[in-house]
Amino acid sequence: MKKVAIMMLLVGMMIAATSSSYATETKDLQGIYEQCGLGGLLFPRWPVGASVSNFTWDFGSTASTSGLTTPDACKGGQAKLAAYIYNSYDSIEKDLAKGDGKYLDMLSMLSGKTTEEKDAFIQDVRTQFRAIVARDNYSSLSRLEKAKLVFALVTGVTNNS
Amino acid sequence: MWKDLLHFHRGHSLILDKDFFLSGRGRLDPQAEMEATIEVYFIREHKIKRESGDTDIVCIYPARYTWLNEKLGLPNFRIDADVCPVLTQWARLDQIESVSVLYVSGYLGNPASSFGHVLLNLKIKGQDELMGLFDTSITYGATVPLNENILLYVLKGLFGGYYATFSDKFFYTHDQVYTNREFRDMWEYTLELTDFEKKMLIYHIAELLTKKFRYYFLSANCAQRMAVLLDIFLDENLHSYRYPAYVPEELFHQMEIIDTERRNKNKSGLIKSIRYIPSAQRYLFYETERLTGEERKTFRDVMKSQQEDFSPLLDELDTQSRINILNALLAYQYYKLMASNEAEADQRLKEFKNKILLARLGLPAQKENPVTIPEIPSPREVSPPSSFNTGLVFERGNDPFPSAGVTVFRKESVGMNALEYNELVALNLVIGVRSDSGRVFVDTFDFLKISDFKTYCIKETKENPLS
Repeated sequence: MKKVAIMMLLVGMMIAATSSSYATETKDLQGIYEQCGLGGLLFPRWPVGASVSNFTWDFGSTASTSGLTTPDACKGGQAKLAAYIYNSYDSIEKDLAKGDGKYLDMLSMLSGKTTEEKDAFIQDVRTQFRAIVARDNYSSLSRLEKAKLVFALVTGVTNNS
Repeated sequence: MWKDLLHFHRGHSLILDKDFFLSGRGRLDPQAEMEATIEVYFIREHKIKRESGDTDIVCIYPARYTWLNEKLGLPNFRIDADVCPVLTQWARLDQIESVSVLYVSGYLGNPASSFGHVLLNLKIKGQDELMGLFDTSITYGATVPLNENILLYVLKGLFGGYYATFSDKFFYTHDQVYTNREFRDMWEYTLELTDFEKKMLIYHIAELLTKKFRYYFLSANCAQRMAVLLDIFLDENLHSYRYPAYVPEELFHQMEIIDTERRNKNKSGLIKSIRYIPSAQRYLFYETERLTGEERKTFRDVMKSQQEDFSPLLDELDTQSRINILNALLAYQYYKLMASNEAEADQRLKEFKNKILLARLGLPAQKENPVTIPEIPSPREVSPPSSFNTGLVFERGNDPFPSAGVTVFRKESVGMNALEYNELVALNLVIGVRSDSGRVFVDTFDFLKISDFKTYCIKETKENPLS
């Protein structure tokens, strides 16, 4: 933990947002990832997991982005949800285990659930999430792979309720 | 204010991008820049290129044009969703209730973060329960090439070898890094700003995003640029270019001074409120502390079991105790995973965590009983980090001698200025004078002194407090 942050730089490379066109159909997290990149999704590019305290890391491009120039398709709705699940995966996982917490409340809100619908939404997501964790290979999955499963789970619960 | 909006200092703008200026002489001549800005308003043609986003010039320079409109009354001046849809959506003026400045405590795992960090949050109404996860969070930092050599990293950081920019993210991404990954405490100072000051600040941030400044670790760093940014809209000064160094704590001390002066004059203060955001490590400490004796014993037994099936250890306990233990175990496993760097974590650690996760998912969801975490003093309550001192030194076997010293930054291991069992001193020089011979000598010189001990020992895990 006390290693110099330089050693952490290699963690979590990301792909910068590149395309200006965006289809309106529902995408899975992989599609959003390919379109917008994650971690750098929504706002500027920072390596996920790196120590970003007082420095940002240059990925070879001198062009910087911000929320003011990010393509619309990478700012709202599904892209926002996808980035949130990917970037906050551990906190969401921990809150799902307990069935409570601010990261879970926000997940419910981003999924468009009202206060009255929240408890049922959490119950549904939590039940299905248990089946995901029970898979033999869950411990071997990368964060992106786990985020894809939870993204599909959450959008599925949202669309079916 | 015009010069401040252009970030002029000693005859030139500190912003290095040519496309920040509408006049070819704009970086050196604020009047030429003003004339060009007014001219472009009327002809509506400019060469500023963006890949996406608003293209109307008032949307690219909303603070400049709002200020000019206040002074001159620009005809048909509008900044709204019709003219600037992207800016309006980003600025969220109808949703942003206040502006806050966050102090992120020092992090000894990264030399660049030793002195702490500063964020500026644009806070959305009614997000208190969600801790402002989707507040727009502004940070300022140098851009460093990947795989930078450590020596170059230090030298270029100290002597202006890097560019730095303001950038924007949602606050939850910072919460993930600082609170959950680096275990750093934060204090959020919500400011008392008028609606106009708030709007101008947000608009000016929009102008500054991605624009390059030169970075100096000790002087032109995150704290200094945030202070200069706020000074544009405050009557008082948080920063002075006379300071040879400016660390994050200094900004919060200056805020406290201004706040006190305002209140002494029966004006509204600068600081509306202060919120303490404890680190995940501190949360874990107090979560395990509240376990009962029997729960603690089971916690330890489960920890010892590791690869074994630990469910029999929990079977005899009631559901509430099982929930308490599994919540604490889970929090500890995340802490271990983060501390070992998630990507490189031992597979056995991941598997053990997932066993606990699965066991907890098998029990009912439960509203969490909030953990009570005592607040530690905020930066404004501790002594300033920089100091000059004089004194008389008594040493065994030597005659007393007068001394004078200067310290650019000091966080001690004891007292109100403590870093909780850690000590960090940078650029500390003490000079003494021999009373008999008058000879001047260097009594102490520390370029950088760090003593790092783990702040919290989780007793149930028998962690060694020394690291």
